[in-house]
Amino acid sequence: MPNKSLAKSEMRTLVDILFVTLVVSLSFTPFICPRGWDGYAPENLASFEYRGETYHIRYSDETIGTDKPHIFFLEGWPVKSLVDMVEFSDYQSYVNGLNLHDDFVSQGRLTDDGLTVSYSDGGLQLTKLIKVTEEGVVVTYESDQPIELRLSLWRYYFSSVDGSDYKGILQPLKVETKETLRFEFKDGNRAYRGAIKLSDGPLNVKVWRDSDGLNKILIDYVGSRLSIKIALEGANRSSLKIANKDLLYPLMSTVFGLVYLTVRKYAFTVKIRPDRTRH
Amino acid sequence: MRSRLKYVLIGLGIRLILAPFFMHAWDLGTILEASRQFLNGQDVYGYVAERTYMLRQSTGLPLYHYGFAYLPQTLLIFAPFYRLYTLIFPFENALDLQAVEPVILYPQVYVFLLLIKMPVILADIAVIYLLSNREPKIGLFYALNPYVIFVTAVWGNFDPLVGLFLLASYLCFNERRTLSGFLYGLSLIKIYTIVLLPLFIARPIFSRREFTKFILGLSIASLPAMYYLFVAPNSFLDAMLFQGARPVNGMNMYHAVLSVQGILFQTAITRIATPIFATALLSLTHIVLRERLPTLNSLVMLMLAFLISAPVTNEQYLAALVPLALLSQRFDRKLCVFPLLFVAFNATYMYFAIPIFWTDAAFHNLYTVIRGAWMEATGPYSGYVRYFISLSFAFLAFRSLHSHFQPQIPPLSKHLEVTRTTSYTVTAGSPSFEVRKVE
Repeated sequence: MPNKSLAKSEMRTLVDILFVTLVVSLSFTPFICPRGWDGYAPENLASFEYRGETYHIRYSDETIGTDKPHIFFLEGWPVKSLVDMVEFSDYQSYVNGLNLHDDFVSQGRLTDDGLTVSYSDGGLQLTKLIKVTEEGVVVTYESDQPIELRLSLWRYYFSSVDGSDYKGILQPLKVETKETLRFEFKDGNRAYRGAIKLSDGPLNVKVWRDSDGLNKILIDYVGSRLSIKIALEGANRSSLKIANKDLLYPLMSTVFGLVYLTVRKYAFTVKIRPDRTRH
Repeated sequence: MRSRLKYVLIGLGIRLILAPFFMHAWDLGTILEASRQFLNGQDVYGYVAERTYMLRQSTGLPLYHYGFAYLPQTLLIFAPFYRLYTLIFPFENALDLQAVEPVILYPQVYVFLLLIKMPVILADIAVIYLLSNREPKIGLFYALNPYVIFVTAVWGNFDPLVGLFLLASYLCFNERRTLSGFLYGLSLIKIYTIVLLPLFIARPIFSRREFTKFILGLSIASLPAMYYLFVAPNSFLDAMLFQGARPVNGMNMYHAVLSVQGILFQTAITRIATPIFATALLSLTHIVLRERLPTLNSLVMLMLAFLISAPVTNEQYLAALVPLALLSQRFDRKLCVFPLLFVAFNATYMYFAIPIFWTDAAFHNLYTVIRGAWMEATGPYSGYVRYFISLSFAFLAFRSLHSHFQPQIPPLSKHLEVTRTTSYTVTAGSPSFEVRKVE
């Protein structure tokens, strides 16, 4: 009888340990999150997210708005965090004078190539394909007919665009028209450089500033296909870093598990004294 | 008798006062939409399957439309009350509770909420009565339990109805096997009670007659499901499959996964969680049957195991267990606190008060301001808080499950004494006891 009881209590302790191990292991699951595109649909409105070693993209996330892609990159050690790089704004972009956000119905869909967003206003068909390559994030606008396209790229703030901070110059701030445009920005104390490469020559490129700095790059283009590659120069691709993961979850589960095991152990090591008066 | 009636009236009064003014808009919207389609002769499951198909086509993601995915018995319970609502308001009765901005008509919504919650309120009353019959204090506890009141009268979900069916099925399990099977069949309106099926079947399996009776009752309750399985097999099975394939969610040990948004990732983790859940359930079923634990304890243990290890366990699920657990007298009542807390950081309490906030524009603005301020204040931390609550619940439920393994100490009497065996030297695990007759 005592041996059986001992075996049972040992089994229960083993089950406790297994349970705690399971809970702690599960708290690490966000660390095994695969790279690539994923999506979700809060209240049936689809949002998309790309997770990679260098770049991170959000599209139509309720926390960042419904008119993107918003491109981030991952920086820091040992835990990488997201650094805001640049966002495409449909609110401030136009096709043939029509606003991309207000005047078109858009629908995002994951395909083998990446995220394809289809815009429709009844007559015109326009697609925006967002894909990530080794060289950077490529956003391609393609229409079934030639269009006048005005795109807005935002960031709060660019330190400089095309080598100038345009201080003291009256708006609109025109930039020399060319296919590659370099920009600089800061995050905390660190300065970064990026490049915007266009597949075709634009009609105009302008920058815009508010009271705090340069916050917008406007690209005017006429044609039916424009591809824009955004790349961070000198991007670190080390895979040894922990990518944008939250250590608090494993920490919480470990503390909980240890407390539970300690309490259980304490509870069962309380000395049980037989009531000798009855013998 | 007097106290029983008093508790029933207290429970009823509280629920009736709250019911017309609160709701979970999406969940009650689902019941409303399904009842309307059912009464119009439409295929309820076909609608859900179609919406799911459209969602998948448009996004390229394996998403599901969160619509009516319960057994059709549910409609037979709720649709008459919806019909009563349309009889009271034959015109201008269209409520759209699932819109991004719910469309609400006054005073129609108050009547609708009161009527649509009536089956659940009546179920609560029956539970109070049944529990009070056995132990008046338990009945009172159930009548005044804020968690149960919240799920029934504020949320409007029907897990307490499942709780009643399970309780009633257990109470007549030994003497009226057919009725027990029928009531268990009704409890399947929320499909998760399927975890109890092996136990319910294994108990009477040694007597072919008793087994047949139970299956007969279960089959009668399942006739509406069989009908849909016959007339609309694809859409019906799709809806049932949805319940089994939903990605991890809710108040459980998998909650950390939700810190990474993405259906593909969460579905992949669900594939890990499902075998964990199945293993836990099968092992426990095997143990409770092998150890010949009392039926009540076994039922509570299996439901606890479900709440701990299932990939999807929403806040209201515990309500289905509370009546049985209270009867078992080994229920850790603190468990009820966690789902109530979880709601504050998930749907938020303001969300349930939409019928009040929507009464005029100023209130509506106030709702936006309060909810915005709450989200801003808690938003960065709500994921951690939810995980903290989920872990607290999981560990406490696990401990509660353990307690059912500990032997019941029989009350001492003149003829009996309890002596501890030599196992008191054990450093871990529970002590064991033996009962012997005093010579």
